[in-house]
Amino acid sequence: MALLLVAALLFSSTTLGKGVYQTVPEFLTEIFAPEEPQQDYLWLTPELKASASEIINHPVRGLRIRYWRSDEKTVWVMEEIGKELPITIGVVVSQDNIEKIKILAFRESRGWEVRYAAFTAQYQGVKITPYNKLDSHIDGITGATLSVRAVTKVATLALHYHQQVSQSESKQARNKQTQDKESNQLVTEAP
Amino acid sequence: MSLKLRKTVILNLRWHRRIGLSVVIMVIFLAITGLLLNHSPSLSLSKNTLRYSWLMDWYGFEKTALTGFNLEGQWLSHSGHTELFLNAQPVASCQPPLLGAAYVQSQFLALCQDALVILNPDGELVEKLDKLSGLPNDASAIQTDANKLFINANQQTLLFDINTLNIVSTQHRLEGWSKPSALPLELATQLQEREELPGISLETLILDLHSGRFFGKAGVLFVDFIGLLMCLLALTGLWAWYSHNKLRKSGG
Repeated sequence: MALLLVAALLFSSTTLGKGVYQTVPEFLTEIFAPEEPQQDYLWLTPELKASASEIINHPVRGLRIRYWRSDEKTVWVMEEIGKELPITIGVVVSQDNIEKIKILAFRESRGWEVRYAAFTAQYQGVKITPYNKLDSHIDGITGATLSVRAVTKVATLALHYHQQVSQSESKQARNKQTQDKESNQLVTEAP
Repeated sequence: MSLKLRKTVILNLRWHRRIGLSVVIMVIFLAITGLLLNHSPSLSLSKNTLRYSWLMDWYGFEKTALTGFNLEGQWLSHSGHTELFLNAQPVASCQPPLLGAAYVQSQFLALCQDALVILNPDGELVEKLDKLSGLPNDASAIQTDANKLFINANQQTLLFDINTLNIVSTQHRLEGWSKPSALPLELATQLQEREELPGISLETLILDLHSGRFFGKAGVLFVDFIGLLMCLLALTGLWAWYSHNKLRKSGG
């Protein structure tokens, strides 16, 4: 009987953490409701791929990454391998810092403790430094080192991507302002 | 009494010899394989992998299905492990089997077990839409018609927008769904050469030989029978020793 109990406990501790906790549409509803987020793409240029690969320590696959936005808030859903299988992580970035991180799916038998809010709360308000590192220390979890590392990589990458989107938008805004100025000048100079 | 006992002893010894002779090879074989298994860690038997084709066939390892989807003169296929191939190049990872493929709006689309993979004409991965992100759980086939992509999910036809990745239900009728065909021989050979074959560890092989499992149920029953004969050998030996002593004491 005692053996059965021990076996059941061991089984539950390794399998209960695995699974899909939330789908992407559900996560987006949680973040943006009642608003409807705008879906957009960030195209991964060779330079961006190189900097992203440095952050996650392996080549980035894909030509574009999908994200969702509303005002200054962007949401990124990415996968990163903890030990052998990918962890699906949702990151909400608002005004250049992390507003929320949520583990949407965890597929490995160990390290699922990263899904607890007590752990993910550490990322709230964290920003990215000019060296593409998080500006705050993240406490690890014993026995979940690789999962913690994966979450931190994705958090950094999401901030990096958000930065790229913001920079590209401000560049576009500046260009528009310059064009507007030039056209106004032409109008005033005209006889 | 003495004569009867003598006859029994002779009969017992005769059978003891017969059983001994019939199991001698198997006893030696089981002893050697048992010794090897006992020292498996120090002999690193589990790290020694055998990949002989006859052994793979015997264990029933399936070879990669040599089928794929011919799109615009290029072949999309799956290795059966994790890699999706465009011709002989690995282009993305997704779970087998490859359920369908199509070429729409200058992009290749491959429906794997876990995701819909979008590739550009050069075979570069554009994006993957997995089940967590909205791909229907029961998506089983894809087909292109009028430069649009349709997904079959539980006998329902869905229209997939390649730009927004939105999926909506449609009443559009299709004549059929994309089906795989045999890969050209040259490409199939190339893919097979790339593939790392699974193998059997020496430890597993010895264990299966020791238990008789290598030869299926008949092998296991044979080893069981040999085990019973060995028990019988021990009993007849014990009886021979006991009756010999008894015969000596009775002066026979």
